[in-house]
Amino acid sequence: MRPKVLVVDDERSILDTVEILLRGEGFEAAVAQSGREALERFDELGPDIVVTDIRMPGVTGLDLLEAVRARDPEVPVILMTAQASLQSAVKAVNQGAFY
Amino acid sequence: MVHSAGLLRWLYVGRMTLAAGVFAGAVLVWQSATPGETLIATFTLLAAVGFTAASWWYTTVVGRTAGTNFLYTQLVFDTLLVTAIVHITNGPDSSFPPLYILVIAAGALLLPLPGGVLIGALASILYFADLIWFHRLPEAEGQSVNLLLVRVPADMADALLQIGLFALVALSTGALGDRLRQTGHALGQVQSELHKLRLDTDDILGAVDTGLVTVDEAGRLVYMNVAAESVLGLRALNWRGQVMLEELDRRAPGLGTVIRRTIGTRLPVRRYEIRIRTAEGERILGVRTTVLERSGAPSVTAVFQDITDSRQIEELLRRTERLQAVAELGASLAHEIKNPLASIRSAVEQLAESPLSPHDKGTLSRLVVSESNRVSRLLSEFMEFSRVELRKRSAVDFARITTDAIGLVAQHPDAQGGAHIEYKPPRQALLVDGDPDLLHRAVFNLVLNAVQHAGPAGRVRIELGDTTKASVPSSVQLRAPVRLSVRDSGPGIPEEDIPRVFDPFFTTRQGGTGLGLALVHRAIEAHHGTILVDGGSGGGAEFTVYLPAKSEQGSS
Repeated sequence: MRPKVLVVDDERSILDTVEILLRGEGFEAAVAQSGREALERFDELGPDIVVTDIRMPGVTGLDLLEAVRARDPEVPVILMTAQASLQSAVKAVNQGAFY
Repeated sequence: MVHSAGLLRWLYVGRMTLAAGVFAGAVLVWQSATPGETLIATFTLLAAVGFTAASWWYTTVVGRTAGTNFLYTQLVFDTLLVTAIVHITNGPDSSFPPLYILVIAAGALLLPLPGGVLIGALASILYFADLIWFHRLPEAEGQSVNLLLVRVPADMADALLQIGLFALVALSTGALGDRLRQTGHALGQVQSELHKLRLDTDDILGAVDTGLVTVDEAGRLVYMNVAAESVLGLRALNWRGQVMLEELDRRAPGLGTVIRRTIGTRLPVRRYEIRIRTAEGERILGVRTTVLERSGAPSVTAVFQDITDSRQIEELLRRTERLQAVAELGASLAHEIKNPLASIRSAVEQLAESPLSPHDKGTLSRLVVSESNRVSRLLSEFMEFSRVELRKRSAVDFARITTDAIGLVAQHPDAQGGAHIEYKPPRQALLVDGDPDLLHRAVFNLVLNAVQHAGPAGRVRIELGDTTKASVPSSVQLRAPVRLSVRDSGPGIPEEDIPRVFDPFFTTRQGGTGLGLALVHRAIEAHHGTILVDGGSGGGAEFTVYLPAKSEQGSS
């Protein structure tokens, strides 16, 4: 069975490219365009790993990380960001993100 | 004591005149006068001169205040003097007894009430005694008259009447003097308080570091405080009462001019800046003037303060803010371009390297095109946003501009089959002073934003008019501005987003650049207008624009 990846980003174009890229690498990819939608899909699919953007309107990547940790601490979360600030990285690592 | 110094002086003068007159009279009638009378006249003159000189020396040269004893002495002497004069001018036949009245009146004014009465009594006794002893009043020789209820000899009656008159004068003048003294006392208190107040005010005005110059209508100096003296390098003492506007202009170019203008217009100048050269270089003075109109004689006061330091701090702060805004804008722009660029790069890499299904190939190719378009649109909108400036200014009809802009929005793809626009163009022109192109772009973006947020089934209601009959929020510091309100039926704006709705690149709409409302805001600010936003907690945001109405609108 192929590993399931949930990709979260508010940019449609990025979702599209990452989805195609992951499928090419042999993953089963699901996408969500907001943090809220991501949590619905998380409960629905039970992904093996989550890849999310940090800067999103409403529920941010860090909020999502916290929510995922609460549901299943075993699921790794990868945070992607265009503007890598040290504070957000430290905060994310403290919450158990890959860095 | 009521002006006792002045009254005393008159007493001295009167006494000397009297003595000189008696002496002159004695000289003129030298032949017919008895040696005794001549002696008394000479003695009277000498005594008057000596006594007056001594008194004058005591009060003026030694500088003692005229106490009650001193005043009693003066008045007793004068009573004696008058008695001497009455005596040598034939007692009952003399025409000088009325002089007693003067002395009694002076006594009543200078001394407390009992003092006046005492002098009156003394005068009566001396007069009566002189008549009886020296001039042998006929004692009841046949002729007698009724005086009130008593029968008295005719000659005696005259004398008694005189004495009655003395008493009357002593009492009435004494009462008058008492009242005057009380009034004078109160007046003295008011004067001393006024003096104290003036001292206090002078102290305060002298201690503040704000310069203060007051001139009258003709430009003559009335007052200048210490701070003004030191800033202008002038001495108030040397200029008081002199015309000095030109000198002020020489010391601080513009200061005299602004005062002259205030004198001419009688209107205060709220804010004016002048520059002066000092040893420490150029300084900026903030000046304001006020007009004080008191009993028809206006005076103008200029208040000025060195604002060089605060001006420099303001300038520094403004520059920092500007740089920060540019940096933020640059970072946002970079972020907006980086995202589509990342997508394009990833898509192109995959297209080149990985084996892909035709469907994925199509998706990625379309993505490259749409993202390039997006960057291109972003850049052109950004250019549009960055050239928000008033290029020309003229009287324009804002009603017409709004109607045109709404017409253009209706043709926009987002409005095709989209929200319904409710708008009733105003019947009359609404003149504002501005750049028609910029105003057109502002209204277009504002209405387009509303249409996009209202969604296909939504509604946009636009109202435009003057505010002559409507109330304007106090935050809008404009008089009877033109008002444009745009309300949409969309989801409204969350409370936390309201402070950011006008920030460049802030958007909640998929595919929005976040530059539309930023442009609207900048354009309205450039026209000295105000834009208010109501997030509409129950749904539906409302934006209200207030623009200054052109002042000639009323007359056209």
